[in-house]
Amino acid sequence: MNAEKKTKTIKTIRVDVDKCNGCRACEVICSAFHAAPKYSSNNPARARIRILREPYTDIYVPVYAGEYTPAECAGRDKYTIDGKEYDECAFCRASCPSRPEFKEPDSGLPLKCDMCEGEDEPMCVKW
Amino acid sequence: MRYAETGFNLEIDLTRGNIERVATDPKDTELYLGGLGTNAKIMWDRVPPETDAFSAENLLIFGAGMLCGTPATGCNRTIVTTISPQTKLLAFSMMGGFWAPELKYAGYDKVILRGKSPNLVYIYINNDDVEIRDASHLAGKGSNETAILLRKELNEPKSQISAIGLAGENRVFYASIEQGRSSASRGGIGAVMGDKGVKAIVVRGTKDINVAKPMEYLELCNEVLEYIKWREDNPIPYQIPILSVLGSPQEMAIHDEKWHTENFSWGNARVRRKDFWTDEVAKAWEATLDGARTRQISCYNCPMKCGATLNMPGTTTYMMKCFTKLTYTMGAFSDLDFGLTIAQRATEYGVDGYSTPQVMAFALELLEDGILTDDDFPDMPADNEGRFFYLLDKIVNREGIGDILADGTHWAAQKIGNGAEAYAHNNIKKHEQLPLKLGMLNPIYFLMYCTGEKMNITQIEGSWPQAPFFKREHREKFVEDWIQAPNEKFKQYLLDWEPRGENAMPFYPTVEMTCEIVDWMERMHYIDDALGMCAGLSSFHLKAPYHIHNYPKFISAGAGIDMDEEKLTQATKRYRTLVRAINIRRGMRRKDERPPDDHWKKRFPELEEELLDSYYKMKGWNEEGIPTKASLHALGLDYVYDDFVKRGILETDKTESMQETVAS
Repeated sequence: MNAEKKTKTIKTIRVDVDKCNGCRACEVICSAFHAAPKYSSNNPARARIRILREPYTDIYVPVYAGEYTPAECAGRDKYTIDGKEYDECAFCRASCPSRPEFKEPDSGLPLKCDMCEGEDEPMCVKW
Repeated sequence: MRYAETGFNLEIDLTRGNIERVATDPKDTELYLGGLGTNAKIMWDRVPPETDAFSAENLLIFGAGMLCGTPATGCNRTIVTTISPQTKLLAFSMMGGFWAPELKYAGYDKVILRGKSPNLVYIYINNDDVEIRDASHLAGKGSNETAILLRKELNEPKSQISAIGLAGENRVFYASIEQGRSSASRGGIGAVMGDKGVKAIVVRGTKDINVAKPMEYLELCNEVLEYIKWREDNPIPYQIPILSVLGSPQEMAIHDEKWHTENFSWGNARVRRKDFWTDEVAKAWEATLDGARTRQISCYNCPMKCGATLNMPGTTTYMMKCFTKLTYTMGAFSDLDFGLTIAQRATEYGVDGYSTPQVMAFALELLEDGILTDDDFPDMPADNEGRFFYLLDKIVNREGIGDILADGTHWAAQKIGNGAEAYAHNNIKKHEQLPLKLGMLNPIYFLMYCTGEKMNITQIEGSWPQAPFFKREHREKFVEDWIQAPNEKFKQYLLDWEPRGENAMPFYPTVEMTCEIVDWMERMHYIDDALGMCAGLSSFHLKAPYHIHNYPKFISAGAGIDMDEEKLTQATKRYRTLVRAINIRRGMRRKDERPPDDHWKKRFPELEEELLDSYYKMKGWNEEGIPTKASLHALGLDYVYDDFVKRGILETDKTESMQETVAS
């Protein structure tokens, strides 16, 4: 029996936060894409990508969901990057009990980004 | 299951503190669509013409557009509807941003406020949890200051908040409702919100919004996105900068203000400065905008980034978009530094950026000409800019002369008397207009100014060019890919439209053509206002991604209503006529439908009469501008006719015989 070698490209999304205009279209299309049937509904609370939008301090950070964690970490430092102050949680991709992001709003089940497997590029990038 | 809509309105009685979640009739969606359409139906049904703006019986409706919260790009507008304290007619003002989609996600299509709260309150909406809460600690605070405070104290960083500032609390007749980078500015809706005692409405929603035909809908959305990209690469030639590209005018992006500063009027809509835009000014203003602008930002689900975060020295960060960039600058004969600085204060106070500078300039004109004296302006600074800051504060606090000015130029002029009426020269139906005083009558604009129920030219114009293209070959190029044109006739009208000669204004486009063109432009705005679509991607622009041909498909696939162009045209006619009926019932007639007397230097009274006659006829209105029995019947609005007869607005048979007389 021949064992075929399969290669898989692991995708990542690189975000230039200076380019984000805060529109949240990524949240709309992500939640729509993952609805069942596909696109039949949308709900940013179900999106696997969320943006941190603080217009008065010019903070715009898109973050796409990562691993689920059953317990919060203890990290609550603040970080200053390019003159802007961020909470430690700002860049975290985890589905974590400390906050509502990356969880279904009704069931609480964790959400994870699957890079829109099957499409040529993730929908949030496309939109 | 309801598609696109949630199927529920929030009815809040502020007098009794009662909150109800009321299911809506899907039949109303078919007949009136949503947003402005269904708002108008509610206003007609529940607000009799005797009701004043500041009466407890006046409603203040926040309507999310029918397609808000679906993936349609740029569909994020709230349509606020009420009776205006200034015009005493219907006021409907829209704001983009993020509030309407959030309301839909919370499970509501509208928030309908009635009654008045005895104390200052804010309304908190988080999905099924809706409460009226004490806002005494927010009294007097800035509009966005309030939003920031509420987000913090409620620990709701993702909530969307609409709030009034001090101007709304003090019932300034041009007070606005602010929402971060968006504003529902005109008509005094902020005053009604203040009168009802509501400081802010906080919304947070985490429910789904469904569409009827998912794959079809997504394809339509993707087509729009593709077209937007194409338009970015293909701006329309031979147009001024803001009209060549899409978006709510990209005033935050462009630096070239030659057209506005040399064609619009400075001061109290008085002076045209034809050589204003020098290289020196251009450089200085570019430096100001670049220095102040931190980031260009978008509204919900829209790539256009028409707004910007601004940081002017000496003030706090705020957000702005569109023409307020220039209105204070020009009202005060000043520069962009001043304009952007005072606008921050005005935004926190929550006042309309079109009316406010004009009212202040009006006051200073009266002072200059002796109709008001120094006694009316105690301790006013001597420097020009200082005076405007002074007046802004006085108006918002309704202090001294500010109390009179806070009612707008029309009512202020009446109160002041002594010839002041002549200075309130830029109003239509008592409402301040854009400061524009031009030369030759434009028949298309004449009709729009006369009959636009929003009383704001930017909310009815757009789909047809403001002026003819100079060369025939330019026009041929333009119509080649003009998919938005309702039919081939329009293309021919445009091809034959010349800047000079027989086929030039004011006699070409002909009366008949003009009526058709205006009717189409107005229709596109009305569709936007029902669906919640931003006019910057639709009715305000030439060659927009949304138009009469794809809109029916959006409605079918999104809301699951059987819709085609004819049905859509019929539906918009219906609620447009209803808006008309509300105003007619409140006393509006033909005599009110006129642009300011000095709007154009060259007027043509006979042609103007003919235009209005023909337009009224085409719309199905009699010579007073009142919808006729026949046209009401054709739209299924017999109940409007019955009401008109009851009130003696129409007489059962007399009108028909009057029409016969006119026809013969």
